[in-house]
Amino acid sequence: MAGKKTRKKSSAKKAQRRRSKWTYLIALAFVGAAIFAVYCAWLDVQVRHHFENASWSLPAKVYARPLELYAGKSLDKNQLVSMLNNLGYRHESKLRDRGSYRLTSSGVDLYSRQFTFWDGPQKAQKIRVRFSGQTVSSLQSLGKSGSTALVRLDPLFIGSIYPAHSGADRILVRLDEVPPLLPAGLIEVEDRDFLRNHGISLKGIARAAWADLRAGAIVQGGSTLTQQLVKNLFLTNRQTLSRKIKGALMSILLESHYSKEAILETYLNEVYLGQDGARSIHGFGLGSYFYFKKPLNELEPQEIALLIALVKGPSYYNPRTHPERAIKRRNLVLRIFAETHLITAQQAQKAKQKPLQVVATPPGGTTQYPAFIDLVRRQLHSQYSDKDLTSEGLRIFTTLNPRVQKAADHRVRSTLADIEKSRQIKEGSLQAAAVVTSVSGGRVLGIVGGSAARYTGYNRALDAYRQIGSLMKPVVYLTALENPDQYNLVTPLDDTRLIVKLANGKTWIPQNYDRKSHGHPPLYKALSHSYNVATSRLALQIGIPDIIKTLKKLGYPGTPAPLPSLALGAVGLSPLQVAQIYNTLAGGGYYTPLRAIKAVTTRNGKPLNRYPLKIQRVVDSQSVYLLDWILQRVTHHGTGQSAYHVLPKSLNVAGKTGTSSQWRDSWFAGFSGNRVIAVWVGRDDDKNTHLTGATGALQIWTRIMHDIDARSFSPVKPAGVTSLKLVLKDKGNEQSTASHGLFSGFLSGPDCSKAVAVPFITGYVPDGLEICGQSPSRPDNNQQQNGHGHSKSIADWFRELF
Amino acid sequence: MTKIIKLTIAGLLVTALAACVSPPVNRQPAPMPVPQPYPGYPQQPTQPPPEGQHIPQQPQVPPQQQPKPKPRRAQDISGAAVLSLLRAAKKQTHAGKYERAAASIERALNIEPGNPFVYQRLAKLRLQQQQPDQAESLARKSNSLAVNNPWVQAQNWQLIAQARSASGDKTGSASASARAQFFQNQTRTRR
Repeated sequence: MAGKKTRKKSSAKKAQRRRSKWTYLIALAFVGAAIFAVYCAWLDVQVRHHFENASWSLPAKVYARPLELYAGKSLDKNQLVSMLNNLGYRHESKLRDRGSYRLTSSGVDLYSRQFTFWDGPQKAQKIRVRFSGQTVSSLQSLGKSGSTALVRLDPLFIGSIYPAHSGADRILVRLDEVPPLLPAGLIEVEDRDFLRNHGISLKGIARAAWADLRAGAIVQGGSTLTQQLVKNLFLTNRQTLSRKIKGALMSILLESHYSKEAILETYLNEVYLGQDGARSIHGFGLGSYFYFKKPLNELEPQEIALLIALVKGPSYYNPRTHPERAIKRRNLVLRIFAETHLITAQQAQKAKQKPLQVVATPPGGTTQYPAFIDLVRRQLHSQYSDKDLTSEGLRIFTTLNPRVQKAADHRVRSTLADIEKSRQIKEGSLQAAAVVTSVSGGRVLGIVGGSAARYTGYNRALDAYRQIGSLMKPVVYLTALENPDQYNLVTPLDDTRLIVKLANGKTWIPQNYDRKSHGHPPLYKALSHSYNVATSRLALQIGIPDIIKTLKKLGYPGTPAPLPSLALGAVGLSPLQVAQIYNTLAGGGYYTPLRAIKAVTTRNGKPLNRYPLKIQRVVDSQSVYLLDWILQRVTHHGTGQSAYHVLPKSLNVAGKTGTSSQWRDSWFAGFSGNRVIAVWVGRDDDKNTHLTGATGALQIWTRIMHDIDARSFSPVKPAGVTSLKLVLKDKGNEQSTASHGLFSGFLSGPDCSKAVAVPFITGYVPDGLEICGQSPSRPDNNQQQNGHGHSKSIADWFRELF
Repeated sequence: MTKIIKLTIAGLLVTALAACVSPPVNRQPAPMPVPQPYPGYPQQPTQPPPEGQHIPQQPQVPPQQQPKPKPRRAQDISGAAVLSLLRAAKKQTHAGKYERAAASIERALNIEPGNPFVYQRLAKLRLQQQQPDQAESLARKSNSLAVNNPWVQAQNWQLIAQARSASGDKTGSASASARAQFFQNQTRTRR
């Protein structure tokens, strides 16, 4: 009886134990699943957070000035083709798609792209451009009859504005902007099933697991693009099993939230492609710039292939350190391109023959125009916060002229290297900066912040405040010439020894560069030959406060100390400030604040802000005309003469050399009819350069001017100016003891074949001039007066009225 | 009072002078050769049209007979591109889109920076936009590019008079009007 009961009890207990085992297991499974679910949720939050962080920002896009085509424009066929190539226009045999062009016997046919400018959308057009030598001779619209007066092309994208301390450099690209070969090729090479899989590929994992087993370690990736993205975004490269599982989970989660396009686009911007010292290179946009110094849309198939090849191992396949490996893998990628019909077999064959074409010195930063974008950023900061600029996708339309910029960059670098070599100066010890603007409109066309190929962030064009030396002299002379009753172009100045007692008790004895006195030179010559002593004396006669007034009128924003040495340029200005001042002189006395930006729109083209042209008449045009006459003599006969070793005589330019004390700074600032250029050469450690304005900055200045399609300076003579033909002597000493108002430096019975037209303010022509074409005693046609300003002339009356 | 007397005397003297005085010497500073004249506005009647510039409606004047008549309107010297931009500016102004019109005119200035009619057009626009300071500066700039052209000068001084009046400068406005009148008279004595 007891045995049956125990037997029943033990079997019941066994059953119970079995049941509880199962319950135990099921409970465990539930708990496990719960933990797993929580873990996945946590992973999910992480994945979404990181993914959105990577793709949220829309930095402002900066554009150069758009190319405008019209009959009469100075542009030749090669220049247009080069510009179209930079814009990414494709050279084709037929005009079929937007953004293409073809060559004809007389010119170029092009199909422009649609673009929304500040003032509205511009339609795509088919245009026939014909050339006649160096000029556009006609524009014709293909498709409809008649001529087109003006065609504005879509502007060149020159860079983006990124957060100041983002820590991560990127050149962000959008999926619809990259060359189609890139994403297509990437998928074929790295993850053939990308468009179909769900984040992980079981086949891939199986293959990799098999490879790992055989190797006895974790070796292969087997990862989809999504898994690679996950790895790039926030996992290290360590390939432990736990990491792989975590990565796989995250990939699945990513795919569940985001479209294939979004994942692919983020991948294009996140994939690790190389190392630049401490800086990591992420994304194909930056990769293209880092390896080829070109934007993505300008890459050729073999260059795209190289970037895709690097995905597998940027250090192992680094084209700069392991070119053989790089080229082998690149050609493998090209083979895959051909096999999957992304390119033809012939294209693949041709591409394989090409060398790596990687730029030897990796460029820093994210743009070819860092100094200019720096200026743009500063000019925008007063109105837009850093956040607006870097996350709203604003479009910024600037005044940059890429051709001018390129010429300036090239000439600064190569001329500086030549100067260093020819004078046995240590390579890289000289620095330089340059600013180029238009005359009318005050548009900044190009900025060079330094001479190094790699921009370090020190923008000398904007931030190097250096003593301008003799660049100040035109300001002094302009102030003098505004008093025509006392000063005209031939007024004798006193260049004999000058001792000035300063307010602090010390004495100042200015010296000429040649340490000689030049007697009593005429005013124009004291400026064109840059005599320090005569200028100092003149400045003291006029008074330093008036000179400061003129300096401010011309556009200098500061207030320098009113010391006598100001006359010789003892004040620090940046090259941009110098360009501003000389822009006013080039514009006939009309001040226009220099602008780098023309307009800002939202990313959809809605206009936000326009920066209009503003002018202000600050100095009377007659005085400026007279001063500019002297500045022309500087380049033809004065300290700037070597300009015409480089420039053609037919291009009239004007300017001034500047050398600061102890040769610390070498300057040249001047202009043609349509361009103003300011160049500074010096050393960052402020030591002696052993260069004058002429031997240093001028050499760069003339070569830039030579390259940028300059027009001759030919100012319109204003009303109230009279030109008289005089014979001037530029050689020999003026030892005359001529009194004020008389100038006896002329030959008696002048040799009028050498006469030069010298301008005077009407009514203020001094007595005693031997004017060619007239006998000295006959009064001039215009009212003359003696140099003391007693009798009023009609011109004076008129002037007073207005 | 004295001002008015001065003005009348000045006016009379000027008319007298205009009759008696031979034309002033009008030269540019040689020895700088200028084979490439600044495009847009020919400075002297005897200069050839700037290189590559389309100048429609060139009067067929046989050489050595009469100097080229001064341009009176934009159409007389402006190229097709500039004219199309000025036409666009006109449409935009009528539609009340002043800044767009200004943008079009600025584009025209980039193409022909020496064209006084373009500056004049911008001056007119600024006047409409109640920016009299800019209007006056731009009108004066236009004058500086058309020194011997009484047609352009008369129009510009008229603009300046309006601008000064808008700023409340009555005397300045009056003298500008007088100057405009002076140039207006010149256009009648000249061809």
